[in-house]
Amino acid sequence: MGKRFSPWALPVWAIIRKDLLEEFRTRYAVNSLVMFAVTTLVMVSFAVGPFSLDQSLHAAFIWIILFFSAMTGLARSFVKEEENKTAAGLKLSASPEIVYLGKLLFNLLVMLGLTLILIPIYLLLMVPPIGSWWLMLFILFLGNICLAGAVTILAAIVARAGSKNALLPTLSFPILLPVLITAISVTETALGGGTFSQGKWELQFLVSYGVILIAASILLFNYVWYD
Amino acid sequence: MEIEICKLTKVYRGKTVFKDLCFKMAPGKSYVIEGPNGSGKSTLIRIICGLTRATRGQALVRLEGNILRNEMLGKHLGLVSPDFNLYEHLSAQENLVFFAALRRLQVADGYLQALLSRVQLSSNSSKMPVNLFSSGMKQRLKLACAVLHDPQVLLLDEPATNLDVEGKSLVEEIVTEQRKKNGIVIVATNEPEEVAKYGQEVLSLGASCMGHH
Repeated sequence: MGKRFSPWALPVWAIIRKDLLEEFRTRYAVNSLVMFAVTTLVMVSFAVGPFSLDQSLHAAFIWIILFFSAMTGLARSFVKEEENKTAAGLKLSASPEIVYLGKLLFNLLVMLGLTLILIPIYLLLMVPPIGSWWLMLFILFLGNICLAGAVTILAAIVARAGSKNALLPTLSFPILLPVLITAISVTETALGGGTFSQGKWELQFLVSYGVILIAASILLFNYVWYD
Repeated sequence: MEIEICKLTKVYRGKTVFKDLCFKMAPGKSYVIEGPNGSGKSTLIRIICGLTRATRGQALVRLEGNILRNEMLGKHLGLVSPDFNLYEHLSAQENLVFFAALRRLQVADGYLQALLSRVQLSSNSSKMPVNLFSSGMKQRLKLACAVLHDPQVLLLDEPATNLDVEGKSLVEEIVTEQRKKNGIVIVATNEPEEVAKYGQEVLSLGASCMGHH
């Protein structure tokens, strides 16, 4: 079986499966992500009350909630390996690229799962008009790839630092600011019923950003992972 | 396989843990690194594994004359160390399957069962999450994980920790077998009994440069 797949497929899948199993049994990341997202959403909906928001505010709220949820939960992927002294086993058994890809794909799955829970609740509570569903779904997918890509490498960097919880959002914010601004802009276009061609430049920027970020992370992860 | 330590120095937070260590390790032998707490036994093991960088000097692991880089080292090394834990929320079997998959090994259930019974973990306990294990059972599982891929070098940092008499015999059996296979065994310990048992050659680290790390 192993010979028919890429040599990376088996170990990368092993890391994703291991993290999913651990998450299913402990629910560390999912609990904090979902609780943060739902609490924030309910608070916003109460604060807004009967007033209707314009598209730019809806777009901003969605991405603010996704950004801070990612900060709350995704750092665990590497922090738990350092805290539980399991990182040495990973370092000895798999190449750094495989570890990064496994963790990235697990974080992406968590973010997509959160989005699947968050967006229907947001639609229910805030009733935003969605003009272009396909563009909305595409930008959520693309934005989550960029979020997961950046948070995965930064989580590995801060995992051995003293005050991890404060450090991750501080480091992530400048790196993810261009992603957030662009994603908010495309989301606004999607809510307003815009087409893919209207958001073409922003989408191109996000695809390029995601590809460069992930490629650079794979190349540099070796230096982050070993002492 | 050969290990060569050249003028190895480790300075941690301004304190010299060890300085200018030089030695060679040849196949088919077991070596003991002894010394009091804080003398750098675990640090030296971590440097050989490529998990920690030396301040100066090198620890070179050679396979057929070629120096192995960090990413390649794990293939040939098996480690048991207090600094390396297994996944507590996975079962013993799931841990072994995971580490086998990371090493791209397709292992049959029969092989894993044989390995688990070799370290005296019953088929029932192998399905329990590791966090329900006693500390001795965890140590046995670490030993199973270290020999899972049949490595050429075994690095055992305090291998008998928490083990009962049978467990200690198991360590002895693993060390003897590794020597017979022409592998290298490095044991870090400060137990005189283990130094005598495993130390075909002994490297003593001094207490003069103590440092917590």
